[in-house]
Amino acid sequence: MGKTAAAVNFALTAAEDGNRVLLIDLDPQGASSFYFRVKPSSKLKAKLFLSEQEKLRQNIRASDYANLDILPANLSYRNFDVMFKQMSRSKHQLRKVLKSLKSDYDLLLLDCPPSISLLSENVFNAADLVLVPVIPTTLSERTLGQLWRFFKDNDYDTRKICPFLSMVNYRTRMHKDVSERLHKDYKRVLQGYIPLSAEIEKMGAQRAPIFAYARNHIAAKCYQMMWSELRNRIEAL
Amino acid sequence: MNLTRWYQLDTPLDPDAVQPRCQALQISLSHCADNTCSIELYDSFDWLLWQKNFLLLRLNDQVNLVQVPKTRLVYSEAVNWPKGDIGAADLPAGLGAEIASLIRPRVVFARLRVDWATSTFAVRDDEDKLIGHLLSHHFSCAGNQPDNSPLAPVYGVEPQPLKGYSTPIKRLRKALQPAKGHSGDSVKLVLAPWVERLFASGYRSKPQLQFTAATPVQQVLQRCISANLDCAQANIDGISRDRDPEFLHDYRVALRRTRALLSLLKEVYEPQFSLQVKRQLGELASRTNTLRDLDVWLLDSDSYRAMLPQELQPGFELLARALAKQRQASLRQVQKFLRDPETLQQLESIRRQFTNNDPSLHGRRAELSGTVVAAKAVRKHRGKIARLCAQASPDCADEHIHEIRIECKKLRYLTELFQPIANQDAWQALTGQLKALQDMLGRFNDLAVQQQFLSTTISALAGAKNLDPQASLAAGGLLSLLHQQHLAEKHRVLTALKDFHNQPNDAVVADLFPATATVP
Repeated sequence: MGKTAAAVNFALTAAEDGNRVLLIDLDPQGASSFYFRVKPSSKLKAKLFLSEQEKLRQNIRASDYANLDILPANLSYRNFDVMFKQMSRSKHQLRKVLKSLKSDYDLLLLDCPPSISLLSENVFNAADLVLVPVIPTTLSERTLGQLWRFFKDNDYDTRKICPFLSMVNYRTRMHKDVSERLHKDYKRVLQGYIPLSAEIEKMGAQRAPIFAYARNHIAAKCYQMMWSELRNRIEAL
Repeated sequence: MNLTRWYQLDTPLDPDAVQPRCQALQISLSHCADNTCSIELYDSFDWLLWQKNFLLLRLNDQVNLVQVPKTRLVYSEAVNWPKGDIGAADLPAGLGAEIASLIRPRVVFARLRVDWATSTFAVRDDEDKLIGHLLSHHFSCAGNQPDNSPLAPVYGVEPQPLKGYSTPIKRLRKALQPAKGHSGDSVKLVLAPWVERLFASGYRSKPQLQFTAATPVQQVLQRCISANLDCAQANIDGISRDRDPEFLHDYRVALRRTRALLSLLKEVYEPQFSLQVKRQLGELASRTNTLRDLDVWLLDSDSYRAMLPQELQPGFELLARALAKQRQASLRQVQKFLRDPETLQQLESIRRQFTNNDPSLHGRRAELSGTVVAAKAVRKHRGKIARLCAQASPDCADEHIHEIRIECKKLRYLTELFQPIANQDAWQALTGQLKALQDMLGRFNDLAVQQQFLSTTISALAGAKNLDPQASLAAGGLLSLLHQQHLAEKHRVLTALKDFHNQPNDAVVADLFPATATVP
């Protein structure tokens, strides 16, 4: 889907745009942390994440880039749902945690695991915008529809959903048709798109955002253009 | 001004040599950048700011006033100073006010230039993640050393961990620095120690000698005169460049002190030789008399201005301007005289005669112990002053009081010379008394001299038709005020002279040099 690649590249673009950015890696697999060469936190277990704000701060790591910090993942984050279940106001805990970090940063970017879970619901409550990468295929279109309905059914504000087209290959008929349909059905789909690109895939081998090794590539430009669009949307909040 | 903490090393950081230690910590260093800058330290000629625990530092176009020993940035401002001397009036307003609250310098100039080279290394962990930077500092100083010995370079490292990586960077620092290494900022580790050293071994207007009661008096006098002539020579550049009136003041005092000691300590050197030296030094000093009078006048001009009513102020400004112009002319003459190779050669030749210490120039009292000669000379001279004090009366001429002032100066030079072998309590009491008396006599004399100087100058300017009538009016008003103050001061002076005379001379000397109480 390109979630982590988008989170990493948006984070760096926003930081280069002069924002103080914290990228929070909520995915227990720690892919965002991996891209930035930040070792997974051994101490910041899920329980501490939710209860010890000072410990949380101590585990923030600077990236190699100005204005951009990372809060690395921990394997225990796979237990978030279990822990949320045991807590009162179980869908609002993340919002409480993030509130303590707001004063230090202009932008908090959360890289989430792919599912609709209690953790996701915490994100839906805490976030101002929920960025949803959508590959222009039938299956992804269906997933976006499911998410939309979930928001409706659970009284979440659908205006938070901010879909964008990812891994797009306009040489295929399907990508063209689905893209057109998505723009028609969902008014809030971002106009820009992220192409399917080998340069983006190289991020894993390079262990760096695309801007570190292919700043002038079309894919990097697409992230930058999409950030401009996103920035306008954030400023309009 | 970067005042961050860094750690001193015994030798410069060698990245190749520290690689094994880095590998053990799973850390790598890679060179990123080099940067050089210079810091100029400004102070007055006599280190007044340093003596108040302040450093005035210029780094590029930023000037910083820093308090020591606990480094505290008191003031910082971007300035557009030209290189060279900065008059107090030319300091930026904010900085000038800060400095004026500490000292009253007339001019500050660059006393020390420090070259600061920094190499930056990127520090990466075993994932090749940047975890911080290591700055390698190298401070060096070329020139400006007081005794031609270089101020040894200072090396250090400054760890700059990125957020979340202070622990591995701390481990690296500990691996690089010896166990008892110093840490601190650039002011604490480099600038303050260097300035302290320059101050300690640098210029002193009053030579500080160490000797014992048994040291032959010729040795004492030879060292003192050599130091005074060094002092006179050291001030010539400052006079020539018109850096501060204090250079001329110190030059004159050094020559005067030498002449006075040769007069008071008779026959320590051959009388003919002493006479010749005194005459030569008198000539070297007298050529600066007019400039010094004008300096004193202009230094006091603010207080004179305040004494006059508003209507005489415009006239005073014209007068001050005419005198400032006259000073420039006088300065040019002095500069010409002091830059003349013959003048410099003459002073150097006198200095060499003392440093060479030719025994044929020694007088018959050369080998007497300093303490015996000192006691006799102080007793004799103090007795002379007491007699002059006894003759002072309300009707006596100003010249009589002026003579007492001159003799008091000589006595002070004498007692200062023999301080190391005097009873310190008695010495403090006598010099304290002399200082108070001299201050009073100085004020009285200044009032007399300024009146005389003013009327002579006005007459000369008027004769040359260079004086505006308004300025004449202001000069007249000022003369009248100075005269009134002069009369009032005379009464106070006479009372003080009487007190001085009433103290038994023998008792004072016996207290000062107890070991010689029985020496006739």
